[in-house]
Amino acid sequence: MTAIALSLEAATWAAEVRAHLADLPATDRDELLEDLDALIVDVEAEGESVVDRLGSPRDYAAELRSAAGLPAAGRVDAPLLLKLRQVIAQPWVRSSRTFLGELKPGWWVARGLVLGLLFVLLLSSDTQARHLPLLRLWHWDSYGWDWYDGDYSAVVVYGGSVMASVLFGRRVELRHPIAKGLLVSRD
Amino acid sequence: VRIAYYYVMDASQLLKGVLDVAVLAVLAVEDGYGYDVVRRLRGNGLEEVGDASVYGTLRRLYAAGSLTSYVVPSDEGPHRKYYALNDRGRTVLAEERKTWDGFARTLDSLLGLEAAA
Repeated sequence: MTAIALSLEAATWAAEVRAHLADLPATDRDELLEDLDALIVDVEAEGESVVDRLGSPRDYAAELRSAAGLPAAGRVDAPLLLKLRQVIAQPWVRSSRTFLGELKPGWWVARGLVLGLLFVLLLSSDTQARHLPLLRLWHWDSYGWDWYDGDYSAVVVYGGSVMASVLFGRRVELRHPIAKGLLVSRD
Repeated sequence: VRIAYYYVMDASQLLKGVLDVAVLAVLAVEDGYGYDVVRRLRGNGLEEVGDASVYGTLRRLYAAGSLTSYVVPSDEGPHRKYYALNDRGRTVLAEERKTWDGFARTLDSLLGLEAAA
């Protein structure tokens, strides 16, 4: 066999086809690519451009795999993803996920309280409220813990933010969140 | 979106199902290398057949044990890998010919129903 001179265009095209088959086992790939140089030489000998005659490297590689009965590109899971799926399929992960799922309403309430706190911190000019906004409902005086008479602003703020958080959480939950779909394993 | 479910049959879809038997039939006449098989298929009316489909099919038929191969060196370019039908390939071709004949008869009669009615 003599040295084969391919045009730059053809050599680039062939390298790209090779790259699109990179995930296959070496023997499969080598067998599929064995005749590629000969084909390119024949195509160019007839004065045709490789891309015009054979199409894009991606399409060519896809057609080659499908005709040879090999899996399409991307169907093979990356090792890390595979590992992740295996871990997710473990019984203890499943039960933990169920348990965490049951704790969700509690998390919504906590999130609401934090949001309310942020709201108070941002808007309140009251120094005491700034320092201990959660205690805005009560204050420490000579009689011990005492209720601020007539000031229900904190009730409104925290009650409102908790309610908004819970309603939002329920809404997202009912719409089947994307994150949930991603974590469901394909078995 | 119901329209998306309708299936439009075209020659390239049909070809996928019968490319094996077409390649075997071509090689039954004479041994050939990939590009040569493509040329002969196109010359015999399968103008739409893609190079990658033929090369992939040759590979698969070879892996399935229906073909043997031998390399013919060339002075001017890369060596060529010739494929030839072996006994198993001839048996497969004979079976597929029977399947095709039966299928073609069935479809012919189905397509004739309308004309006869």
